[in-house]
Amino acid sequence: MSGSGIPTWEEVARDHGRFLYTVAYRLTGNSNDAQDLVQEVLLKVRRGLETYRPGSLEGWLSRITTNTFLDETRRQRRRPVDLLPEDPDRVVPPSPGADVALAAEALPDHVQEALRALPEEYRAAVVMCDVVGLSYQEISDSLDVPVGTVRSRIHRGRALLRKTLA
Amino acid sequence: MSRFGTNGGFAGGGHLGDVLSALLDGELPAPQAEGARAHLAACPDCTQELAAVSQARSWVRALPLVDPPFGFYERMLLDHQPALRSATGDRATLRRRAGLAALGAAAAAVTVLGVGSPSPRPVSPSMPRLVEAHATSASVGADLLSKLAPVGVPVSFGR
Amino acid sequence: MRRGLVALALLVVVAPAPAVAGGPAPLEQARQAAENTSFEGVLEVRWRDGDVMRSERLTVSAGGGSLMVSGANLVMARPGSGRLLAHDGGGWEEMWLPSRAAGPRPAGVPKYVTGAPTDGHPVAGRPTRLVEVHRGGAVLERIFLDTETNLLLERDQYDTRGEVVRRLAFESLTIDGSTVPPAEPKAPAHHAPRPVAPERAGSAAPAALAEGYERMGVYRSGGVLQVLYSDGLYDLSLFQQQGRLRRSDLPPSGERVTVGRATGWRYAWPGGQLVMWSEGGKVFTAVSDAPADQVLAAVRSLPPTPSRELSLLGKVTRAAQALMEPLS
Repeated sequence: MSGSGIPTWEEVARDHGRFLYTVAYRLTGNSNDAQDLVQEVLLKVRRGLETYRPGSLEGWLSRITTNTFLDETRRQRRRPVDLLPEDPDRVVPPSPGADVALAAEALPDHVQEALRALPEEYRAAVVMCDVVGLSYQEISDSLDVPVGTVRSRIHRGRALLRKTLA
Repeated sequence: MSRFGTNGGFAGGGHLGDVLSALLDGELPAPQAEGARAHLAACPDCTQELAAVSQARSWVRALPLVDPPFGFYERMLLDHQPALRSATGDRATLRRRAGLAALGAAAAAVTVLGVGSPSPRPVSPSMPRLVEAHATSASVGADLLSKLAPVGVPVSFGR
Repeated sequence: MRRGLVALALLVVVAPAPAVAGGPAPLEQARQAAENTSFEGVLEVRWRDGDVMRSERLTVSAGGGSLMVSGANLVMARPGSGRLLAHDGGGWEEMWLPSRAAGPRPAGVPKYVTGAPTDGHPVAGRPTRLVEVHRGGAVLERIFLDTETNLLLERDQYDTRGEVVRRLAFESLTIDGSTVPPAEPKAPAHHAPRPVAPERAGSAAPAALAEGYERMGVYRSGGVLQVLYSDGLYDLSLFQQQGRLRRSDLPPSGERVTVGRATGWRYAWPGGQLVMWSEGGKVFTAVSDAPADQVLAAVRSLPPTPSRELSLLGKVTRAAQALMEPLS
């Protein structure tokens, strides 16, 4: 941290890049979108550092990341629906694979896939709570929705996850 | 009352719904938490729902940090030349400038790009990531044991 | 008289019978064996790091067209070209796509001479066939293949003084049909680099380097360009990115080398060598399983990076042009 307590964006990128990428990856579900999201976030970080109040830097970063993510998904929804382009190199789609009996085990990949299947608002709430570790109030402040809505989204998100991973 | 209904508090025979998640996350004030636990003791449906969301919560909390692919940090630094964007402004503004004025803007943008600055940005490539990228790509069409097995050993050059 | 006989004997030994130029056919047999055999074993990897020989053990199992290496990292090869990696405690990353073939490897490179197979010492209790690869009259590699399956059981690389630089050898091995192939990870992180048309990479991706390294493919991941080369036996990746190196950012164990006008640093990893240097506003990293002297010769043959003054001029010109482009 620089002396003034306000981090430089290089410090943010270097010290929190992995955290940022993780949050972005859990939200978007794929590497390319995660990288794009982190790019956007760093731009905003660069502009917004003057308004940063010392406190939880990771909380602040995840707030920007999640809002940027949700803004982008809302913008995409307004566009006419077309098939999301497949990665042109992925000629062979991933094979369905054998059914996996999960029991009390859930491999990270399966959990990530289930997260990705959640509606974005639920996914964002679950990621902010269980990946970043924010309180309901902090999530409420970040997303600008009432605490009750936060609670409901988290609960529904978890229930859907459990159902998908059953 | 649906199983997953949003239930601010609960009344008598109603189910807990998202109060369960609040309970798990320590977000219920003590009196409400006590009331929720009392309900749970007598309600198998809510007990089952609690188990389900608790399981999902554990799974997500157990997710590891994700390492970005090689080139990620470099891309952040590379593409992070926002000066060109901010100096040129939006396109409408740019249309109003013309000729020499635009060149002036170009000069200003280029200065901020670092043409005048003494040296390129220091970078610290991730050697393990590059080794892994090399070995996995080189193993295609070649003997797997020779080319791929060695990356089972994590690369560390610190010693 | 005796000298003449010795010379004759040497001639008989050194002049290989069916000499095979380029990558040795036995490694091609080993490749097929690794992809088609069902086995499980413990592999020891030894490599020279400075003055020290380091060693690690890995479990390898293969079956049903998949192969899994278990060390502190997990590495998986799947049918087609799928390659996946997981770090200790981390999730799976897809490093290469199953549908993406490798570029063509050079054939007929006269650099290497492969000897005729002879009987090798037993490895993991199994009889082997030994094939030696020579370069410039000295033994470079000894390759021991399982006589029954052609699986690679041991492979040793030597330096010019005849000392072992790297050794891969099975300590124990069971070959039978009982190995269950590993489950395909669902939703791995997609980290495979994207192909780049070589023309677009221009002078950053020369078609060939010294020592017979020919370009196989060009790829990009984020801000890093990867040019993959092969001489038929060894492969070399040249990574490039913008920036400069600071000695203080590099691990201290590197050996100082020169690459053209630049100072570089060489490191050893279990599968080969790594050389890093910076010049002209770019940082270069070469990773290869070739011996250090070959890696250095190859990278020293790269055309010099244009001086910064010239590239800066290019930037200024391009920036001005971009602004003057007619706006849509």
